[in-house]
Amino acid sequence: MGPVHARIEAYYTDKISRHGVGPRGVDWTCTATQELRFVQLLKLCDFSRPFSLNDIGCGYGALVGFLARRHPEADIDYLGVDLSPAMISRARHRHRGAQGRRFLAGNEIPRIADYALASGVMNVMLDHPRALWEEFVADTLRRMHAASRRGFAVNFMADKLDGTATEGLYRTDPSRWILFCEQTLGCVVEIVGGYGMREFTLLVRPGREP
Amino acid sequence: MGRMVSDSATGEVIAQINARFEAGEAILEMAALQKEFKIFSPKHSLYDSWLVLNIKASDPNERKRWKKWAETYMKEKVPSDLKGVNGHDRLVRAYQENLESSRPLPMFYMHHLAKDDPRVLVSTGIGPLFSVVDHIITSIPIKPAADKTAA
Repeated sequence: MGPVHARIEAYYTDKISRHGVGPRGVDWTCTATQELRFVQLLKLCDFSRPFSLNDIGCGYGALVGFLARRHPEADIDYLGVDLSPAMISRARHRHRGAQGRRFLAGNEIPRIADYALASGVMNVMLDHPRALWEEFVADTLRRMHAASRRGFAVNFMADKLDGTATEGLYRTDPSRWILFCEQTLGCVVEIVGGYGMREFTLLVRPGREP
Repeated sequence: MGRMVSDSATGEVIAQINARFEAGEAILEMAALQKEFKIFSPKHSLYDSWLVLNIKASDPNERKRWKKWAETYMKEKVPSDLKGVNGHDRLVRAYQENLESSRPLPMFYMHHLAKDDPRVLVSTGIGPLFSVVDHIITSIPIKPAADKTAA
């Protein structure tokens, strides 16, 4: 996956360099849509007790700010991981001094946490062949599963009604990755949709071992 | 707008507004965002609500003028088609009521000359030239910069 990771890193480093900290810097339309995705992903988490959280593809750490506003009482040990050192540099600067908030550049998930989330990580396929991109998706899901005690959540762009592709973007049918999580990873999957966007979120919890 | 904001910034922002509130998936997304975050409400200025949606002029100086136009001029100087409701609050109410309705309509933002009607007008009808579906049409009175006789 090295060359794929390198292309992704270069793409997002360019984005944040050109647009700065903000939704456009991580390829989202606006703060509101970015945060509506967080709402769906965080349905995985039990906020009634402390938990640890790995944020995969954390960008400049937008989730940290959202958690502070939406769940100010929550006790969360947060680790943000991103392929782009430029993103991580901005995340550290933006959240400097925040307790329980750490950021790391790289392609490894360096610890096992209660939960892992990934928002938008699978969407921008660039010019990779679809089969190669699906290897990247599967690899990422495997690693999120391996690094999560209580589950992981990830979102995807859904197919368009007319079935046409959008250049550079990865769209998929939910069943493709629900089956992967159930049959290959042995997990129980809950799908979240109908939140006003042509996409879906998978909440994936551990089930029987495959 | 008109005398307060440049033509290019006005066009840029209006294009963004109309794209984000157009028929189809865009208006469904807006309704979902409103349901979750109450973006349009009396608690927030119109300018701030647009900003959350990343609807803004690209030129920072024009953004300041937009803010002044939306938050001061539209509140203090512009009436609306609802008695006792200023232009700013009328727009906020139009967005909120439509997005929170059971069947939100796409929304279309346009202008008319203030000398014809000095009020913010909200109506239902076919807004964009090539559309065939009903829209909530918000029409803002403007005083063209070149119109020295406008009130």
